[in-house]
Amino acid sequence: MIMSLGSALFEEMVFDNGQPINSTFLEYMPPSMEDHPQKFRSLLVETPHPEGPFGAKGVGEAGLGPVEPAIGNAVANALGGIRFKDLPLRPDRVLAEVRSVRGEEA
Amino acid sequence: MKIEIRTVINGREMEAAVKPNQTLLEFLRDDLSLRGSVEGCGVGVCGSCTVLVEGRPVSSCLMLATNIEGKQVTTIEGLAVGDELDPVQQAFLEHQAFQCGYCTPGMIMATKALLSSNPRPTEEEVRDYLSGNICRCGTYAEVLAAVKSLSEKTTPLPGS
Repeated sequence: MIMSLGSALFEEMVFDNGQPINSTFLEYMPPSMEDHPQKFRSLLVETPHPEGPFGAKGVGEAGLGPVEPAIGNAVANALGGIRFKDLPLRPDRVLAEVRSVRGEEA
Repeated sequence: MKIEIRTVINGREMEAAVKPNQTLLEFLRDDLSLRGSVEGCGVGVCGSCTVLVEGRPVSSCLMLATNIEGKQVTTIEGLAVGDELDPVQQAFLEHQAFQCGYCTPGMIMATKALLSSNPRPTEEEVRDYLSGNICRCGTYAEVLAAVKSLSEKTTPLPGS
């Protein structure tokens, strides 16, 4: 879920003529401990997976899906229904969208 | 060309010849086969290569091996005594404060440094101190729990 928080808010590969221009952690920011929410709880819903070896099941990235829509919905809710179609929800992107919806100049 | 250095690694005195452009991390891993410290980013941002030099945490990918002349270095290999894990290692184990484990050596060394300078850190202080150690798997909640358990175990220093 924290990985997903990164893709919802910070992480984006930027290319210039096919060259990645933010290829180090100096420019490409995964979430750090300071980005970790104060309240955080994960619940495991266990379901059997008999096809896996010894019934084992990969769970690492299964939690990636719901976080972006949850944050997107929260932002849309806070902004009176302005929806975003692109991630990550960087502050400048959110501000530009709000201004364009309100008809203000950037 | 090689430069002779005298240093103490994990309590063991040694003399070594290092290249002028060799990083401390390369010296530890390639020359001494201490492969617990790992390179994540190579530019001092991710914290995976954290080791203690004179008790202070440094990114060993940025420090040159020649800079440890006359200094004491502690790596993740130097924490356990025989089969007995260091309390920080034990706490990480008990709280499963890792998933893939790549950031763990750095996290543990940074936690050692934090607790030696501040034995009872608040959660804010832990977050601030460990924000230089990136965990791609996102196990921060477990790391916080492990460090919290350690800070509760530590008795306050006399006079503090």
